[in-house]
Amino acid sequence: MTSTNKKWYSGMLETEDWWAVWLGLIMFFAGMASIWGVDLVGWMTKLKTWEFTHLMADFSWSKLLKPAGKVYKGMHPLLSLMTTYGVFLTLTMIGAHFQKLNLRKYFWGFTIIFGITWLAWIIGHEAHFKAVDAIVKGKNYFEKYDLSWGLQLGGGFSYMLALAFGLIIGNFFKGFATFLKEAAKPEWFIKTAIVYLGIKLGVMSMKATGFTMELALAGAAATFVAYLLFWPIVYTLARRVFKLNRDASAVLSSGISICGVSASIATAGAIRAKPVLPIAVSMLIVIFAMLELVILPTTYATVAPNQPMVNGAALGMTVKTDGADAAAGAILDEMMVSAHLKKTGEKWEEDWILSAAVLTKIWIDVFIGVWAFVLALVWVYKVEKTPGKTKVPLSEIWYRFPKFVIGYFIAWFFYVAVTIWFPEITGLAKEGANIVQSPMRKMMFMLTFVSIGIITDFSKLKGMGKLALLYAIALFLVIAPIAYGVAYIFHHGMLPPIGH
Amino acid sequence: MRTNINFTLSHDGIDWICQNSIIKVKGNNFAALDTNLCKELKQIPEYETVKEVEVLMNFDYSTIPLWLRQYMAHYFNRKVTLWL
Repeated sequence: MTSTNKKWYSGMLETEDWWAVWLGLIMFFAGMASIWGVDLVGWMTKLKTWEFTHLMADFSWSKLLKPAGKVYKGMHPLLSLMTTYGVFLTLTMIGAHFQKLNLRKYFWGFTIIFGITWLAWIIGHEAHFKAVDAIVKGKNYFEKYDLSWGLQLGGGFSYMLALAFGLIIGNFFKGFATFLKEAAKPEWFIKTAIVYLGIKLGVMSMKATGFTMELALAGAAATFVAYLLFWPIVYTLARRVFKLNRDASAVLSSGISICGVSASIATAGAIRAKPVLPIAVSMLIVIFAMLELVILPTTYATVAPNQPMVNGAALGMTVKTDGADAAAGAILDEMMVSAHLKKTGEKWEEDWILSAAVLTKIWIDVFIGVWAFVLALVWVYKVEKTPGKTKVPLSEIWYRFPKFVIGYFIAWFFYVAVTIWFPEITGLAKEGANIVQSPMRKMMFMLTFVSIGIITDFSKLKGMGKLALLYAIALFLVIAPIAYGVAYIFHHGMLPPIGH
Repeated sequence: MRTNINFTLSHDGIDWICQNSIIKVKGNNFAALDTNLCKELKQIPEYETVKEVEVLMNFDYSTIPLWLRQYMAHYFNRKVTLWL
């Protein structure tokens, strides 16, 4: 069956991008029901910090898990987990049906990925990995469990473990990875998580309006850097030094400089390159995005522990693909917040560093349609020289617009509007919103980590020597240093507010 | 006389293919595709008196690998004027 974009509403039921909006907004509005005293999301499972010997001495599921909502306090933790599984399986299966995925494969794939995700998440909450030797919300888990050692990684260990599980499957159990691929949808999961993050930004906007706006505007500036600085440099490098042809240079430049796979496909489409070109480039981008995700958060956190917002924004400009960028931002956030807490006893509020990474990236994503349109005009008028014969429809900008951004801004602005216009119900709104933007969003992040590992096969680098070399040079010698410099100009000295 | 005509566009690894319920035409590049399409259209009685056609080729995104579709949901739609 063919799939074409003919109308402005094409794809609203068939694409992952739109389904991220639907899943995001369904849960957002379900969370908002708390305004009327109805808890529709409190069944969501929340993790607890636990310690191995304490757990083994007297095993109880309630030491590991609990329902997030007060109304569901009496619910058995396993029933809460089964409900979480059931709700997300059902919702994503509906999405999978409309996306014409193989539902049987999706069911088993999602079930296994969900299981791996929660296994990694539970292990990651073991006190020796997670607990930081400091008082948080009146508790010091390090002292509570009388730990003699600990990695003190905060929630970051869960993310790394989930990624490691995914990578092991993707690279050592390839048959199994192929089986899981129907449900391994990192972009879908992360875009849904980003819509949930919109709520968080709403909550944060109310706490620190000026800071949030500054973050948003600095992100906008990053857009100019990606399109007008990175792209021409990488394109020139590709043409002059690596002698690539015009099409390959343009597709690769967009992939490396702008927003990864989506940019390379958009550019290839704009210049009407043969589809095999963006497919090959995309394989390269996915693998490099994984390397960026593993290397950059640790590097930035180690080299610049006092520049959290600079580090976050630099990730947003450097790490390609939304999934890898948000994942890298989440790891960096957990690492830096934990390290700062360990060092000073002061807890930065979580998710500001992540938001810097995501907001920067979203600004870049938003303009990919416009950029592709400009490239299409350049190709028609200057390269192919067929003006009059070939026309570039304006609708192409809309078709390439990342739709999940709509969900992100709706969640953000709706939450802000509710709290500004109806301040008396802010407390009630926050109850539901907090469940969606915290445990639910983090679960989508965890699903992303496992999935992104599953679809990353490092052996695909074979035979891509020239392209891979160009990618590595452009990334580490051009993009990463310039991105860091620009992020420093806009964000240096900015620190997340102090949490509780 | 000028008329509009819609096709679905895909690529088989070697050729671009544009087709609808009546016509299926291949070409190694767009110039060849357009030339072949003009030839094909001229043979259809309905287009005997037509001098100019506005052709819209909607790329069939289902030909893009499944794992890649989650990143971007659109390749391109090609709008071209052909003189028969």
